[in-house]
Amino acid sequence: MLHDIGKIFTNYLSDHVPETIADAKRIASSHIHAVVGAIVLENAGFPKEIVAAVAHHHSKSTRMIPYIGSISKRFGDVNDRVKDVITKSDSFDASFRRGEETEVKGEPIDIARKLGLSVFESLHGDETTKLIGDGLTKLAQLCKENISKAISFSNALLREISIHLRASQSDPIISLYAHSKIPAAITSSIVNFPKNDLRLISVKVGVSERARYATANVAEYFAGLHLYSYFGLIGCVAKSLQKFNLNADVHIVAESSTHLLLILPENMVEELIEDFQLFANDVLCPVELEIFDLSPSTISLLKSITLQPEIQSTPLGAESCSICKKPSKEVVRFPKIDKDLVLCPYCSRIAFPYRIFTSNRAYSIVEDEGLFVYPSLKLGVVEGVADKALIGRILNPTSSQNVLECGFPSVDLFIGPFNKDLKVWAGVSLHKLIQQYIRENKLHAVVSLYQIIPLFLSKMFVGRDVNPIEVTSSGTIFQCTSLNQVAIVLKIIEPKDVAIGIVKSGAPGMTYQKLSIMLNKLIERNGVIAVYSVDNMLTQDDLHKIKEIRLKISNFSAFIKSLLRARDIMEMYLYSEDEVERIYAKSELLRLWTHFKKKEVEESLNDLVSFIGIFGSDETAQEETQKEEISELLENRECVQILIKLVDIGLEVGEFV
Amino acid sequence: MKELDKFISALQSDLNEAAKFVEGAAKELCDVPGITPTALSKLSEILKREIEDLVDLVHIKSEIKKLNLPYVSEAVALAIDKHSNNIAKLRRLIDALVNFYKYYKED
Repeated sequence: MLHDIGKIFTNYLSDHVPETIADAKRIASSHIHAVVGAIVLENAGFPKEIVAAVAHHHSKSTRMIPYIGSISKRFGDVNDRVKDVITKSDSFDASFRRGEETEVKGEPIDIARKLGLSVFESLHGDETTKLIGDGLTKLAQLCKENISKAISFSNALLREISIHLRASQSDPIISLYAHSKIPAAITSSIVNFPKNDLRLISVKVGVSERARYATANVAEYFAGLHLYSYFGLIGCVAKSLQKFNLNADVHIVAESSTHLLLILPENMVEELIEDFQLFANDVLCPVELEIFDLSPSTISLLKSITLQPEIQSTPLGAESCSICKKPSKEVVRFPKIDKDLVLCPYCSRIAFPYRIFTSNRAYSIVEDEGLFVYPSLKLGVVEGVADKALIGRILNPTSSQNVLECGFPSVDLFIGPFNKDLKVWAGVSLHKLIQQYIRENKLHAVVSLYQIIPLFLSKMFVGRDVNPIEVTSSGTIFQCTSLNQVAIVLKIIEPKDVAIGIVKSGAPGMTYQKLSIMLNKLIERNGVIAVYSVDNMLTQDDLHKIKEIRLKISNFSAFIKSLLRARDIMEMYLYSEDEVERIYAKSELLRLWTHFKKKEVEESLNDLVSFIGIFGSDETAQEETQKEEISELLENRECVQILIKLVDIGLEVGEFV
Repeated sequence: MKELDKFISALQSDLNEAAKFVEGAAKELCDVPGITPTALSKLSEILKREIEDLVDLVHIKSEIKKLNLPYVSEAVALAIDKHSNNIAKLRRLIDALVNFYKYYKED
């Protein structure tokens, strides 16, 4: 991971270490960063073997032949096996980096620059030079004491100082961090399993079905679900890799709450799939795995697997959890929030993450129970740096110094609170861009994108009155107050094969699911930036008509409340994959229709219908519809979508009047 | 009683399958003497009671049978046994039956 540490100094901080650069130039005139890195590590007190390996990591290059003697004289030599591994992994790594020399707007590093992240500042805001000095000294000590902790620390340090830096001036889309992690994962695979082919594994957790249970009362459930998914994902990989004596911090090359990218030897894949099935059972969400073969300069898809959660039946006497629907004997009730809310022990923790997790604290994943529990994986999350931690992270650190103090890499995840006042929800998906990079075999660009997107999307939202609901490696869903804010976000991202969806908020879970489905559909459209909005431009005449309608409805607030309920039910009806839930929603809709008739608002509804002109002429709208016809109408998805639009406009009427 | 028979039969095996016939069954129930909106609502209420052990389960079944609703009581009582680990779904389905019934029954 440390092999290119010298690039930070040669490319960005040369003025800070003029003597080191001059010293390095006296030893070699080519690949000077290798020598600079070795000097820096030597000064920090690293073991000689590591210093020599860094110094020699380009020694197989023909340009370096004249300088090998002087490098060996200064730093010592490395044995043939080390040279062989370095050469193999370096040439493998380099095979994916040919031909990426043109500057493209909207690429990961470009986004970082637009966000104003200075190269002299670390990810969480400390001065880079001091951080490197302190960090390397501590790392040198750890290398002598505990190699596992040293790997985790080195991952943490490199993430803080190099994720927003380019690997080289000619590689605009590759971060230095990605450039550190990929060769490390390749090297570890080659060293431990030299006869195995390499695999790139993309893991995605489909949380949208489960997230739809987030009602207004438990809207923080979104954040909790992502946190639960994230810790489970990295814990699952750490546990699986431990069986093979591999370190997850090396092989996880990019991570976010619902996405992981792994580089592994092929013999690990089956074991990993078995463990991801256990993870799916715990998180109750489907897990999509894409397994790619990594051959020099080629990424080719071998297979895609979706692991569905296996729901086990539970004994009699259990109550259904309001969120996961899993029966549980030990339920938790929240009478002050919602008297009907009954949660199983797991969901009760997921629903209120801010009660048990705190920013700027370290969390370890251990083979025991904890704040979060993964019963099938037999893992738990505990606070602090546990001695027996399989893997650990510091949650939302306030400074990079705090990251170095705890020694775990940082993770930036929004844990609440949910903001009911932000009415516009928008989603941005960069899935197409990722797919394009994979097709073009741009391994480093894919990894950079996976690493950088969640991080910088999170940073972009700070201080903008924007609430991130979900920030993953392929995009984001966020709440804001107006379309102007969406425009600001898009200006930063500069859409390029980006799908954007915008909806007005309804029930949180439903709005989230609706937006997710919409984004997936938009992605399928080829090369189009599509925007869907229900933002209706009403004229003064329209407003006048609306006021007339309003006067006809005696209890307007009750009417609006009914419309809101109707829309939620219609969304449930449209998007539910469970046949019983779907038919129940339809029956509720029909019951609401009867309710409207009883309240004598039917005439006003017809006025609204004719005003919007959805069903054609006034006569058609006012015709008495037979009960069976209404029922048939609801069987037509397009009709229900139109009805939702009608309700949305009805709701706008409520806002305007 | 074509749809009602299909619904009752599916209720004992697969709730998702039963959902396909629930609307038709509710419509046919509108013409069955002895079925009233109040009695059906009562059925739905009983089914929503907490089930903590076998005694609760038997009690609920007895209450449902006591209602003596043609077609429905016997079928739901049997379905409770069959779907004891997924009562929430059965509740939803019976709620849908009641909603549909009320929709088609009321003027």
